[in-house]
Amino acid sequence: MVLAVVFTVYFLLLTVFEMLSSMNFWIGGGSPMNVFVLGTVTATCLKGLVVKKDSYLVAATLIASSFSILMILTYLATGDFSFGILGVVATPYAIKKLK
Amino acid sequence: MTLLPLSALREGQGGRVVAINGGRGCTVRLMSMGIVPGKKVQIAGRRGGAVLVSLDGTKFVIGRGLAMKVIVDAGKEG
Amino acid sequence: MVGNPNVGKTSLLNALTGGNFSVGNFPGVTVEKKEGVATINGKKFIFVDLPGIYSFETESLDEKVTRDYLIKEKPDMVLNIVNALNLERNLYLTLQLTEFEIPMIVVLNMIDEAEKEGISIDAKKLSKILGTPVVKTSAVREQGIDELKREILKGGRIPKSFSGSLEEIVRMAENIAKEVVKVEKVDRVIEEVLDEVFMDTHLGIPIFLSIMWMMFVFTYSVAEPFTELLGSLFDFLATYIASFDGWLFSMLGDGVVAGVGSVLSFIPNIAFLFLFLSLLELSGYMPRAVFLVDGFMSRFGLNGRSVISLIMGFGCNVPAILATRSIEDGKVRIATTLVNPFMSCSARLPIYVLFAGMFFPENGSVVIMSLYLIGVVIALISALILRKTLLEGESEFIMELPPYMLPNPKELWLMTWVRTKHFIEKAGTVILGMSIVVWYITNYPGGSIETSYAAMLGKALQPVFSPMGWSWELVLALITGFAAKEVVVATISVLNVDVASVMTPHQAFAYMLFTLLYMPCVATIAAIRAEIGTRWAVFAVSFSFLVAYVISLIATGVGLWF
Repeated sequence: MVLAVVFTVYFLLLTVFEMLSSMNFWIGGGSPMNVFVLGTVTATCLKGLVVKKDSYLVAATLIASSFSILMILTYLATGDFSFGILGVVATPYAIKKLK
Repeated sequence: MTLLPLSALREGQGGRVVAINGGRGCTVRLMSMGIVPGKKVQIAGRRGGAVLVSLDGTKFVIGRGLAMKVIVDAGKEG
Repeated sequence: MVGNPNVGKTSLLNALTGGNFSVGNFPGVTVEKKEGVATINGKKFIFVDLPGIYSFETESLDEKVTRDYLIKEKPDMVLNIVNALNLERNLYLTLQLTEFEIPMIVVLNMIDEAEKEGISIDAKKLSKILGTPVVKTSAVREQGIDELKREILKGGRIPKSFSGSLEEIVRMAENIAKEVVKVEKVDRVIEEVLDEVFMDTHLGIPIFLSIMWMMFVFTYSVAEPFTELLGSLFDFLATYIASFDGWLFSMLGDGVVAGVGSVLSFIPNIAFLFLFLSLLELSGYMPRAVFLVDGFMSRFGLNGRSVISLIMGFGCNVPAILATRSIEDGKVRIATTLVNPFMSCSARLPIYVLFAGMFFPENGSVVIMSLYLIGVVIALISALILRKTLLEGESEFIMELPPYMLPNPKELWLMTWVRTKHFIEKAGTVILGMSIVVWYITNYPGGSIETSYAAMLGKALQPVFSPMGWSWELVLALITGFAAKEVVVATISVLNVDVASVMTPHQAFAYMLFTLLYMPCVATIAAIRAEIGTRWAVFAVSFSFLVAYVISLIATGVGLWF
């Protein structure tokens, strides 16, 4: 459960950062759709926290890690940075749970 | 005994298939997927259009049109 | 190799042949055929993976292909791959296969998964009942493969005959399953965990949209360096060839290489899209997504599967149309393909930017957004109209939710490659012809575009568009935009037209609407033709032209009131 709180807060922060960056407040390049994806991850974590079920956390981290891999590829291909990259920290948890 | 089309069942509700009310084509299609009279089915989810049916541990998505042709006995709950 | 869908036939083929297999099509149909070679004890065996089917009773293409193969090619042996998780239902096909009187081996695949779920199967008893060898395997973990190879060397046995009507077969299967299967507990852990979230009432749709966005990013952003590389390579080649004197070099360079190149540079996008789509299909997510959006889509006569294609259309209609392949229902597939060009692709954006910037400097983004929305609305309405008229018929579908799994990289690669190759072959020829035509009419007889046949065509066709009040230059731009929509902007700049002086804002809006809706570009037409045939491609061109004309006429008319 502690992990659920940590992930929820972490992805909430990433969502906010991505939102600021998409509105060009800070460093540009974020996109509203990336905000949407991170927001979905946050919401999924949050629902897991509310209904007290691990399954939501597993799915959320799975999405977050796929998204981070994709954002890393995008960064390599086009140079656009997204805070989605930082979602990579969720990968070990997703892999461990899916094994 | 309450006879209803599969599409009219609520989420979570179960029943036993009684008949398939359709042409040969759709009967065969449903039967070869294991939806046969006598089988117990349960609605695992529904969202406007298609229904999610679980049967013997396998889940199927069945379009509304097809789900209307499957007649189930929803028992006392219906 | 014959079996139901999702029983791990491809993994088994992979395990038997050590990855030495190829994917092609059965002659004359777009059903994928996988073939592999293995040498067992010095003997050479060719394995053919037939399409996954549930029975021989319905008239689907897959079943016809399988039946024809068994009757005409007379294989030496049938490996009937059975999903151990669901023996009873898989037995329908097994029992029907006994009628062919071909030596058979029954392979109980995914046995490890079954054991994990407390299902145990008495293989000896099953073997006795059917009269064929029965082997337990787990193709993914490469268990039981050696035993299977031993049985293959023995050649299998002709099974006892279990012919009967489907009703009788169903009863027999039920009885056999009762005898050989023992179930202790049934709970599918990972399926339940992921399904609960992926099909959640509130989160299901946002998760689906997130995945769609990821597909979009993967197809367009990640593939960008490759697209640019190919694009500049073809540009270089085209200029280089055209720099030689003579009409032949001009045709080869500016016509053939430039035209074909501009389309071939889509290939990275297409390959990346197919990779992602194959991943979605093989991982088992696709049928879940179909369930999620079916309610909304069925209101417009489409079904859940259409949504992926329509969303892809925002990027480029070509890969989007190829994505309709996953729609089984023929009529829904045609309708989805036909309305796809109304989804505003990225090539149309430069046109909007040019006109919106000039005529609506204050609220350009609102204007552009409204064009995208109008496109979606018209696509959905047209789909509804098509399904009520030309493509009438109820969409009845049933789809099994397969277990989630990590796709085999080899299979993923082959699936992507075969589909990409199909596009290159089919689209290539059409595009070649069209690029020569476009090159010819923009260069002859005068050598410059102002005095070319294209210009004459523009002037000749201008009266058609006089109700909208567009000048011949604008009409010409539309004609060249037929090759690729981004060319519209290029043509306007080549012709040096001061757009602001020849039209009013409402005319400009009508013009933008027209470019949004009018006939799809050459590549898209080629894709439509490759997927659903020449007649529908002709229909798509005339239908979209008609819609575009009517809508922009209405827009011009409405604009006049202000």
